[in-house]
Amino acid sequence: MSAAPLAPAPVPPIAYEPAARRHMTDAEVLFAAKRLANAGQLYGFVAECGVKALVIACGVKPDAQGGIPRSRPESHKDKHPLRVHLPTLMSNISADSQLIPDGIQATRYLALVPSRNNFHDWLIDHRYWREDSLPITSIHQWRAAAREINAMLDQAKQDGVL
Amino acid sequence: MATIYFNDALRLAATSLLDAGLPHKSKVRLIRDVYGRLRFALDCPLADYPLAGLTQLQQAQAALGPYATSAEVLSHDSFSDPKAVFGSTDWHRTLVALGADEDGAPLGIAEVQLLDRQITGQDWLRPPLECGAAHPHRFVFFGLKGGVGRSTALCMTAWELAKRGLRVLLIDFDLESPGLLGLLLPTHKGAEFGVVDWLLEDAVGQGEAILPRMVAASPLSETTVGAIRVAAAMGRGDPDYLAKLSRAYADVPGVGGPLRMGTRMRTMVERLEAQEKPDVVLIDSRAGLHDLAAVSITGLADTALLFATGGAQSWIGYRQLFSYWQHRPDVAQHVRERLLIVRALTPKSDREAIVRTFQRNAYELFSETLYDELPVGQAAADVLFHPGEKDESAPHFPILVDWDARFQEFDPMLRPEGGGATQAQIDGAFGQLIERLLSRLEGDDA
Repeated sequence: MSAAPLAPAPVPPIAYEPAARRHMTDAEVLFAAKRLANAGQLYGFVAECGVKALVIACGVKPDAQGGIPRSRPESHKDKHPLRVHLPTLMSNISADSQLIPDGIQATRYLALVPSRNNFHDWLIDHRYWREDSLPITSIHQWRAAAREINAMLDQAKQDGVL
Repeated sequence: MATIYFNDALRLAATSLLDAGLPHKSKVRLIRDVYGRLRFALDCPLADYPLAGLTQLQQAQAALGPYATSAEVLSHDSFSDPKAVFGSTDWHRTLVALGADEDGAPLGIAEVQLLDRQITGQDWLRPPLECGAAHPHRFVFFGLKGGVGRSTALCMTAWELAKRGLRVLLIDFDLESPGLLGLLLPTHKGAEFGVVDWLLEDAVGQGEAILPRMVAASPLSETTVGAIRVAAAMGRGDPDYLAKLSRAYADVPGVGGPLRMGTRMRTMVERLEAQEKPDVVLIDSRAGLHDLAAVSITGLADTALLFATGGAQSWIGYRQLFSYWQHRPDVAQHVRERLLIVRALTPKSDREAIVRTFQRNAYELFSETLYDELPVGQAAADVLFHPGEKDESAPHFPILVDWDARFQEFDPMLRPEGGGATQAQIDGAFGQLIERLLSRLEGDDA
């Protein structure tokens, strides 16, 4: 991977890394206030944003907004397998080793998140659900995985990958 | 503007921190990333640092050109767990030579707090955290290159110590050259598993199970009072060694973050020690400036024997290693008293002059790197570590191991009349080495 350029301009609105950290801060506030339903939703966003920050740092070319593009680079018809939510995002990364240009580096950092499959029962649609239907007992697993994601981002930041 | 290379970047960054106008200097640190690029890192929330200072740092960072990671000056706000990042044991007080002025006069040395994120080699700077834990004395045998008689010396040491009644545990870290310990353990007598197996099985949670099956008794110790127990790199008749070696250095996910190779090797040594209860441990380190050598010398050794032969070229590598430590004084202070230089393959002809030159070179190397600098015209005060050139117990004072054709393709199982060696011949070549090691062991008891 070549080194990232200095201060890109103009600044695109999507920045997954600070978004991941912001969601974490807010999730912890909600968790401490026992607002578990939305805390749980945010822990999922932490992981989603953290992983997307990593794959872009590992060579996935972002669109003009700074996000994962709508379609795969080699085909305008096929939807980009990384422009999805959890838990599909994690399974698509595991299923297709060609998705990330610098797969070796991505693997190294994903190894810092051994609990990433804790989100198997997390859904983006939970935001529409009745509170008593949510798998809220999973929140501790989600929280643990979100913390690993943040530690991974801290490591990548020190290493100059982010 | 002059092109900035790796060699310049840290010096430029350190120089910019000397500016008298820079506020809260003690809060400003440096992080060097895996590409060698730098960023300033404020050990405080960004809002607590004066804006003028921040602007100054941003400008200094931009001036590093390709050696600035990004425009961002890091702070507690850059990380989710700043306590973990800024409290990491990988931060080192680091001395940076500032170069020379236009007239060639040296500009002195600056001290910075540096977090050096590396791809490999991090273990050269990782002394063990729990220094107090009781364990048998560990001797590490290291050479910058192979072919200097390191493994032969290690085997003879094991044998001689066993003759004196000690229980010796030998661990082979030279995974890239398995089988070098064949002198002590013919392959068909080896244990079922080797060190490389432990690294793989431990990664899937089965390290504990194979531990009792990775140590074998050396046939040499059948006639000695003490025992020689050998943990070889490779198990007996391994059908797939390279497939294992290529995976052995992987980091393994652990509860508190990934377990790195260095930590895992330390764990393995500690468990082998707990199982075998040896009086002394001998580790055959991999040659060269490799990660495994870093783990064994910085992380494990109570005494590291550094094998060298004469000639300027044999000092170049050691000088690089020593000055690397020298620039991290905390690490240097931990390591330096554990080192002993071995003059390997000392020839018989012209011996006195050769030994004198070697001793002089070794002393100069240590004086200029790892020993404390002496105030001009004074002997070492008690607080300074700077043994005299003739101090026979000092790290630089060479242990002589003789060159003797007999030991080149030596089989210790043979009797002297069939090509083996007499006790007098062994004493002649390895006597000094054994005596120095025994006196280190006695030092532990004192």
